[in-house]
Amino acid sequence: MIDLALLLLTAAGFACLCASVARHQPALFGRALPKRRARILKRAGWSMLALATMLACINFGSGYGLVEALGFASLGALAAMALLSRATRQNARR
Amino acid sequence: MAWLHTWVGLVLGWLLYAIFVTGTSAYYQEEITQWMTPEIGSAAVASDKSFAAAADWVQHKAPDAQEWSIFLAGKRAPGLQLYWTNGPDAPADAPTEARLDRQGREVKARETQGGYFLYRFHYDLHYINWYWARWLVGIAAMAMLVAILSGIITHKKIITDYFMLRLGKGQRSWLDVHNASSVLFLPFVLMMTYTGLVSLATHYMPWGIAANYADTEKFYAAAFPYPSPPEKTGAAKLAPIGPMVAAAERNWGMAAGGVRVLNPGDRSAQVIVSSGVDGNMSARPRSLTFDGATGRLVSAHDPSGAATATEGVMIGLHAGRYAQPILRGLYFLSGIAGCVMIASGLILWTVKRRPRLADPDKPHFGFQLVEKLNIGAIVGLPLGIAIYFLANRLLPVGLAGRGDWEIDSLFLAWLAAFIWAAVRPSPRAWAETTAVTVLLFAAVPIVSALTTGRNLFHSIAAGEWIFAGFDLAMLALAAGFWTAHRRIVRRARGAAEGRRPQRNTAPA
Repeated sequence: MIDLALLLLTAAGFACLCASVARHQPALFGRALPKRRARILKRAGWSMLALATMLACINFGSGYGLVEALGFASLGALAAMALLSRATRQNARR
Repeated sequence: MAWLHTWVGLVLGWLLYAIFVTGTSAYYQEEITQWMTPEIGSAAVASDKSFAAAADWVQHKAPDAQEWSIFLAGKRAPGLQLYWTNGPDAPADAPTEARLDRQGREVKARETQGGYFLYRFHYDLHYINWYWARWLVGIAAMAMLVAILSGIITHKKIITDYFMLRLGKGQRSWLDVHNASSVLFLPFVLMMTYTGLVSLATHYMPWGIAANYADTEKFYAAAFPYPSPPEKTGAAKLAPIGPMVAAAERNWGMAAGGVRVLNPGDRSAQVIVSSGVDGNMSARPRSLTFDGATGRLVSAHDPSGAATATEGVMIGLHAGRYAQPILRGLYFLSGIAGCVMIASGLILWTVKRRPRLADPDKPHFGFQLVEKLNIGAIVGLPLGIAIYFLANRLLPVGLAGRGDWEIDSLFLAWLAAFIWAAVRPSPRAWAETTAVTVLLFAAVPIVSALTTGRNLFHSIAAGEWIFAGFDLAMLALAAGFWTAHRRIVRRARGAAEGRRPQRNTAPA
């Protein structure tokens, strides 16, 4: 259960970070986002990653939790990347 | 910096790939061994009961033994390993070791090195002296550190490119795959390379010990105490082992991993219980010594000092023995990402240089050499591992030196892949070796079902998850190589029909 939460949090966190980068916005939204919204996305992304790390440390203890949080961070980033890659390809087709 | 990254990565990349592939398999070392010794049941028994049963067995089998050791390689280990020293009256050819299952019954399993061989290969290699092998592996690991750090510097837009993966775009895609696998899994790859070096640090830099201890043995005696049997003082029955193990486990709050008994059956008997390898993050065990005749606790040994603790945790982090199933899975996936990173880097070397060739149909020798070595190393090793598993099921159970034959089959198959790559045109060799690898991995569960009577559906129904998981992993590997094979074939066909420009005909 906690593992699923960690995966979702890190994936969502990295998706937000990805969406906050100006270069990726056309592929995801078809246009650039206003600076303010990008900043909110960035903060939300980092907060989710911090929350995931905290949850993991509370649940497993700080050493084990940190390792597990890093592991899930890699997996979550991979998921976010797959999402962006898909969006880019769909936009290219349109 | 780009120059450094390219050439250091190329020269040691093939060895690093082999280290990463076999090292990654080592996260499931016990499971692989379990699969390769299907005679041993996988019932879980509390460790104190296992040790007590094994102690009964050895006392019955070798009553005059001067000392014996029982090892249980963690909760996931399929069985216990026993070693003992016979008394002076025993015949010279009396056995001195045995394998028991977790209920303390001797098992006659087929002779195999199992997952241990793959684990061992990742730092000791094979067919060459381990001492030089470790130096070679150490140089490769240093090169890896250099490649990682120079790679980070070379890859300037590390943050903005972070999520880029453009597939089907030739060189660009290879670069994206290489970047994604290394950047996304950077914490893992960096940690593994560094801690790998630390675990063999005393091999590479013995001078720290030499400067502080006149005799190297004295350092090891202080760091890893291993007492000899004391003088005998007269017969006395050995107290039951089970309660001592249980007491030690309560004391540490984790499972025991080994029991060593000195002078069993004597008043001077000592029982040394050490903690298991998977109890906590540190790889350095703790131990408690009990009086063998009375069962009273005599002394405790804990690794002490900040440096020892740091080293223990670093080695522990590298080996991941402490990891629970989910974290173990993350370790394994990260390991695969590391393999992909190295393989894509090696392939990128050729992809980048192909357009610059004077005649792409007749590349110069250096280019050909790299491409052939890439095929032999990247596809050949997984192919050899599939053969290793098949040999485990197909070689006669009674064959003398069977364990070595299994290993030889791996290297023969790997060698065959190199030869195949050398004699065939490279694009064909990519397609053919990957096709053979698909067939071999897909054959593993089928051959296993035919030769052992354990098939995938039966394993799932019976809840034997190690066997089911292994078969499924083989099918997943077959599927992975099938995807690679399809891409290679599509590329080659596209090139042949002239639908794509020549420079995109890189092996997938």
